[in-house]
Amino acid sequence: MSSVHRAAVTVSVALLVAAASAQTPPLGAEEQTSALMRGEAYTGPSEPTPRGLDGKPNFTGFWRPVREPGKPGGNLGKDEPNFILPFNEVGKRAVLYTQNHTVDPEALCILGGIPRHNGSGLPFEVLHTPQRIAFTYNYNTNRLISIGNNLKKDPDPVPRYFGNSVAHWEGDTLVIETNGLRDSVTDKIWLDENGNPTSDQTQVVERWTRPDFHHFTLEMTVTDPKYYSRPFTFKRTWTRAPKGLGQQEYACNETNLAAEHIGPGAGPIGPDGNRGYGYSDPLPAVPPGPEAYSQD
Amino acid sequence: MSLIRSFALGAGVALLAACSQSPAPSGAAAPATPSAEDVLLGKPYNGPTVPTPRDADGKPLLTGYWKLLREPGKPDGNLAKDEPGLALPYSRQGRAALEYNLTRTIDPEARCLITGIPRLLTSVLPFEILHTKERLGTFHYLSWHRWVWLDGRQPEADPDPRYLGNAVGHWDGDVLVIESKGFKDSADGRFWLDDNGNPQSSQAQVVERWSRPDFHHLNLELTYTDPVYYTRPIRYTRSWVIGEPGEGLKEFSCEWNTPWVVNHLEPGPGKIGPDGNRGFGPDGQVVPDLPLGAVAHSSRGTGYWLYRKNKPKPSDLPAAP
Repeated sequence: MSSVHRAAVTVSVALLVAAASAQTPPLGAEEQTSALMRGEAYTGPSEPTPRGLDGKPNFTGFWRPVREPGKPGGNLGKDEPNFILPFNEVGKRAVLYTQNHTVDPEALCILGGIPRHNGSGLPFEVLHTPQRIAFTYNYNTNRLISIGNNLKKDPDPVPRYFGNSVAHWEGDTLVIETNGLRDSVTDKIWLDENGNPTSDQTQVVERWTRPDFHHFTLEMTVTDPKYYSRPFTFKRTWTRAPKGLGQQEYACNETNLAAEHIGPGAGPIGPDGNRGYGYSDPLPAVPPGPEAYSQD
Repeated sequence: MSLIRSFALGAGVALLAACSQSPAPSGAAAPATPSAEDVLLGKPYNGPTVPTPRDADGKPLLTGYWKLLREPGKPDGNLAKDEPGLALPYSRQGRAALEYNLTRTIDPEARCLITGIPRLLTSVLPFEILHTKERLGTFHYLSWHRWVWLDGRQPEADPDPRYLGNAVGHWDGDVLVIESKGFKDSADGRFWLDDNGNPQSSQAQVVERWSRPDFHHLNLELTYTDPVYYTRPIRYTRSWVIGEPGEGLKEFSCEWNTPWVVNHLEPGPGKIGPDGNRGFGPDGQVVPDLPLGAVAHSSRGTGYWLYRKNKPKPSDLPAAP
């Protein structure tokens, strides 16, 4: 089981694609793992949103992503034309840098950070109390955020992978505002699975709702004037895993003996917006050069 | 401050030593910044007693940011804290396993492997609990956390071996009892019972009894039973006090697992003093220079394992502006 997990964390998107196309033969261990991780559309009767001691929606639960047909996973350009983010001129250079000179931070077991985790194909679990909410992710990482109506963003925050966040309620929507993120050009952080860059000026606004028991939805706006020409939005829905399922220990670090041998970049991004080769396709004989990542 | 914290967080006890050894910035008078002890350790609460917060079912809620009430004369990071002579009751196999850890195993925390249970609970550093009806999470320094089921389930008969075990809780009156089994084994070479390199076996069982007698206090009575490496169960108790309003655990990422540390750091925890505390880890080696970025931010650990008493850094750097 643990070896399957290890395989699954490397290119989660590839795993999900592989599983989706493997319907006919009996499920192997990889596909079973994937099935546990993958959300399914909920078609049963609508059940009311659970509420906390403060009367607000309670987001506690184990949430699994529902893939949208024709949309890539792990790509924050999912809702953009051709799945390509609106890089500015500096951003076009930054993406060449990340793809050719930086190792996928998750391959090094560095905290994946925000907004990357919101684009991940893997499930997450939320523990929600009236004043504090935790998002716990695979690789055994987490972020903790305070909730209050008068919390102020730190004007001069210490840079972090998950940034520095405060949350407040707007009606039944929990709004999480994050600044103080690390920068792809100086630190081990990517915007998403595809190796897109993020900067120390990035601000992320997440609007989370739980319209009924089974659904958890996100509308996220990422504003990064350093690498992108305009803000972009990203929408996503997760469904509640069956009762009794939850996240388990998911150790990332056991391969860290090999960290120095991992090459840079996410690998070429296909026209479908996905990274990765899947499990069955052969690796190319010659690794792709910088032209594979040019945004021109 | 950030310098101190960025290299002092590896082995719990080293924190306070590091704090007292760090020189004030040379020249100009240092601003009155709180010490690491002030920020990270609990202070006895002497105010009026505030009742225990409870959920809709009337059960205590353990949610909070908890700072250790350190016991004078007792070591941190040492599960033998409450044992006579600070000595654990090793079995013959246990002595061999201890020897293996001391001479063959690099501190798993130096490799940024998940710090397990009960080691996490022996730390001197604050931790946070989020407690909901069916699920509880404990959140610790180095970004570790573990989940506990409170939904009435029975423990798995044959759980996967994990650093954090497989935790299932139930109520005994107002005491939350968390039972864990299915641990990794020190024989794997990447799992220790505590900061001092004591061994833990795959047959270990941990029972934690948590109580919150009032708003401000959290108590743990832990029993560690490991028939492979120890001749009898070990008891371990600790108390924490609630943090200040608005305080909470902040991101601190483990990044000191450089190729040199992972491949070349001396095995074992370093010398353990007669007080039961270890120091900064192995300190007999000539070490490479601190990695780039080691002193930039207090939100990650990069250089700790390269710090040596005989080669002081990063305290030889000027204070942060």
